[in-house]
Amino acid sequence: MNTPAHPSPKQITGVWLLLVAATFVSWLLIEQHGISARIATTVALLIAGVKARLVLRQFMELRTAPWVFGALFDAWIVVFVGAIIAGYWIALH
Amino acid sequence: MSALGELVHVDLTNPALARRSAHRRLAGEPGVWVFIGADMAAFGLFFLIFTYGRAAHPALYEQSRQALNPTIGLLSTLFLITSGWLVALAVGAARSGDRGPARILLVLAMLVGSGFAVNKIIEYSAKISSGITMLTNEFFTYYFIFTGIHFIHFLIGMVALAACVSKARGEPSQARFLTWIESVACYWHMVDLLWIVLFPMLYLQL
Amino acid sequence: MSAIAPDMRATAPARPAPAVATASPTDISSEFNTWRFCAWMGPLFMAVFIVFWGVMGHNIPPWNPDLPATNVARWFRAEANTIRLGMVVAMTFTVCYAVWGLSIGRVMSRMVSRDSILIDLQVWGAGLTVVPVLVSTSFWLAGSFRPDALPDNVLQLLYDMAWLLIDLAYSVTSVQMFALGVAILKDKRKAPLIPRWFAWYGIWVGFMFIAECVMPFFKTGAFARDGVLNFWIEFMIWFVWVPGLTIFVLKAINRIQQEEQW
Repeated sequence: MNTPAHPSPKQITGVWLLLVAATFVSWLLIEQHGISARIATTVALLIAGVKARLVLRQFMELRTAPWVFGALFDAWIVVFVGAIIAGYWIALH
Repeated sequence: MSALGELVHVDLTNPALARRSAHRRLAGEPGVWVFIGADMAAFGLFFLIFTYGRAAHPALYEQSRQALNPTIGLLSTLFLITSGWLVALAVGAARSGDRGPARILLVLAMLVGSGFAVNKIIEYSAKISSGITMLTNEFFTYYFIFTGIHFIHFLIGMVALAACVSKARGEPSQARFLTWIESVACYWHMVDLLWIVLFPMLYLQL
Repeated sequence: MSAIAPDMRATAPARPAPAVATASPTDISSEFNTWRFCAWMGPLFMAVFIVFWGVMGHNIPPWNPDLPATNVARWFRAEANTIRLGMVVAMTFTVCYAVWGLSIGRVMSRMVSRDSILIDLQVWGAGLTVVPVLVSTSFWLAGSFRPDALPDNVLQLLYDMAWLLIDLAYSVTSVQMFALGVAILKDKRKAPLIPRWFAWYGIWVGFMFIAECVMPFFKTGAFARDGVLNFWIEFMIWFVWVPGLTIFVLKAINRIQQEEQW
């Protein structure tokens, strides 16, 4: 078997650390008042999309599932997180 | 095997397929993914409804958002992410046949998860005692109902984790236990993932 | 007599007994046809309900609760006969939902043990679903009976009562869905009589209904009785569950007939 079927404890922990770090970054961006609100919000939402994808692909193991499921849930992220971001920018005008 | 069955589970008893395939399969029982898909579609719709409302009343939403505490939101997120990490480790232990460690990890996951519950109850109580309820305005309607429905999902997940803890000792069949723990883990990760989007949507949109 | 009876009860077979020796193949065939007929009562109920309750009764979607009482009153007075006809037909066919539930229960007896409480729960869930539908349709009917003699706010109350009942009675239907879902998941056949993914869909629908709990708190928006969530999503996911399940039930009955009648 050339494809590692399941994530190792090391990989899992690595993903967790990434998720924690990403969460802090988005929180800091918003709490820090030096950064433009628009950029902070947009980046925080994009980070959410990345975190969601990490959970889907690593924790929920879509990485080793039939590709169609990975594609479906990637589409979910693009559509719904995308809509939140789009709505945010529309609301600015 | 049905066409959908082929899509979700390659039959490894066929040697030709076993050699060729990378054994792509959905974690847990395939049917649980129908539940997960439906729930994610529903929450996706919640996100759209909120976004639409926010675009229509940005000043109201921003003013209301300021009554929320992003640090509490951060804590909630960290609790769920960490609980998810422990569940993922538990699944790994279960796969290696280590029922004891798997059980401990699941219990730890529940402990950390209950941190989310405590945090949420504190947050809700604080809002309600300062006179903010789901009837206060549109923002808070969505805040209470969407996080509330999410919280119910969380509670169901905790019950499912508890069932897994009991099965770690009580289920002799490795195949059946794995299906259980993988399915519950996928559901639990979904609960985590939905909060990952809810957090910035509600707390962090300036 | 009494000396033999307890022993005989103890050895009663758990699986359905083979066809009675004296029943002809035609009798058995006709039993299966009756069973299939009962299964068709589900989609029949749905179709009648959508046309007569839904369209003629102005319930797809319902009147927005924020509208003044005069709007609802005017509708009752202007459309009295349409509403009466819609409701009497809807009420007549409501029992079909219970009949359908019994046909499902019988399929369940081949998935789990014949005296499993899950079968009773599903049958009762389907049967009890009939009650709020019958009672609420009678309120709409009552409003259409002598609307000119009633004040606007009384007519509004009748309309509101009907909707509050039909929406908040959701848990009886949830019980039906959960019981069936669990039974499907307990089916030990290699190829289950009803596919497992459908069990999960039903369980999900049963849970989703809980959002109706906030309906009485809102007169506008997504959670009001005509809102995108509490009307459109909630009703559509139920509307598709009934025919979807019936397709699987009919297939299951055919399979059971093949297995048990040879």
